[in-house]
Amino acid sequence: MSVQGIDVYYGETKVLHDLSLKVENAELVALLGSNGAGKTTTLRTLSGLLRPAKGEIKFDSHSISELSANRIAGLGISMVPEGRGLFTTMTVRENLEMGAFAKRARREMKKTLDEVYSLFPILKDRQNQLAGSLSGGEQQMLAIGRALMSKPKLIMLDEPSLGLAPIVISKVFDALKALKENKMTIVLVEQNIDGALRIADRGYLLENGRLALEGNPTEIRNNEMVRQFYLGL
Amino acid sequence: MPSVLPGALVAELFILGLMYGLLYGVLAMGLTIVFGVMKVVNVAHGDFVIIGSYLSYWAFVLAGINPILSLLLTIPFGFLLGALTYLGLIRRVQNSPELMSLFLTFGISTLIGGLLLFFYSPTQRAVPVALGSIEYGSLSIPVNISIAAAYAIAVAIALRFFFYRTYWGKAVRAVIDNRTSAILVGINPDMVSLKSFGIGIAIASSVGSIVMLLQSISPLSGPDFTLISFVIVVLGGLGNPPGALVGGVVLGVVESLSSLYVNAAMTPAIGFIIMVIVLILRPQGIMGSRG
Repeated sequence: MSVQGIDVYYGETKVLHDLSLKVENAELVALLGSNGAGKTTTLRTLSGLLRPAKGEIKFDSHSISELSANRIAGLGISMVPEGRGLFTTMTVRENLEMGAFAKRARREMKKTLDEVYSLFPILKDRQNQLAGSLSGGEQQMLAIGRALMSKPKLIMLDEPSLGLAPIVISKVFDALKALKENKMTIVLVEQNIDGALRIADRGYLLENGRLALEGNPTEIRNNEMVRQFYLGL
Repeated sequence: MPSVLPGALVAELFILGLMYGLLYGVLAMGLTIVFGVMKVVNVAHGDFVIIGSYLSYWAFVLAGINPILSLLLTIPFGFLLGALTYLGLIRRVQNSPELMSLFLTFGISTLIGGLLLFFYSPTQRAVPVALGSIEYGSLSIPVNISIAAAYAIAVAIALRFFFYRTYWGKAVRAVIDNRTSAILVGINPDMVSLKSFGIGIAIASSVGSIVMLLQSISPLSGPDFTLISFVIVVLGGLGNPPGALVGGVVLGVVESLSSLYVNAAMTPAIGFIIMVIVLILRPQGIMGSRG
């Protein structure tokens, strides 16, 4: 996926300024920054929930900036939204089934379901429970599992570590690492910069809706500004 | 007021209330599905009931078709009419502030009432089918009301099957639950809205057929049905279909039993009194969840 010079507005307010970034196949790219830097806005734009006023987003060499969010999902771009966005009044299994809504995924629903269950066995134990009754960590696993049900080519996660206990966070990050090793392309939005840099191939740092820094984890870690303001070193 | 209530009378009123309540509840389910999916309050819901009633009335007058059989007409016709109304009108205001859709459906209600008046005059219409009563010991239950209840139960079961057993039904629930997430998994919200509005109106106009077995109607009877559906939807919890069924039964039974104590002219007020009590004690509705 490549993003070329997009401007995004919320009403009259410009929140993303001439943002460009690139995600290669089978790469885990971290999108970092503090609250309000524009990370979530970027993901919402990439998934089609927001439309860029300027610039272009390309996926598999097709422009997707004008497509509706449900069509973009159908192309194989899957998003785990902020706060997980589960269907809380539906069962774990129903949530996963809905994840396979895209036509090409629905045909293989049974098989993908088994794959997701083997990645997160707890979901199988809980398959008939309502999603709203799961613990925070289980909910995050379900959100990731639901995204995987669409057989995505690219998966985007918005703050998967938010509100989870440290031991659960490391489980979630382990799962992402396993996905990356299986050649999944991943965009990870995180405030937990340290954790994200541990598994990322590359990272982008956003500040006030602008790109402030890009590079591999070592470069970002060693940047003086990052050390001082984000890592507290 | 009788000092000692005869048990048979109370039982009979209870059963009648339950049966009417089921029919009202199913009608309200149509309204609440539409609200749940689109956040559109369809003020014309009752007018689509009357369209179904007129269809059944003319099917009877012109072709001698029993209103029960004309369900085969009003269900698909209602679905089609709903789908077209969605495509032509509702879709335009779906993402606008709720007041816009309220104005639009109010306009549709006025339009339907006006057109029916223009074509069919304000005369009250009824279908003269006498179905008699079933006697159980000292209980006497009219057959037409039993048919209404049976139809309501059939619709409730069909809806339950659709929502919990079919993939498209689950997709509708997903949109009701979390619209953004539903879009993000690839569900086309337009398609879901189209089907939901179709289902909502199919329910309304098919209930119109059943209504022809129970009472006479006129072009301006629609708002009565809207109002009762609205009270039930609030009772059961907005956007909650099973809640609507429960709300309908509660309203039906309480209204029916209240006739032991208050003048029949007062019964419509009962619904609003229950609604106010529920709004004070449990604002999310009987079956609704907070948030």
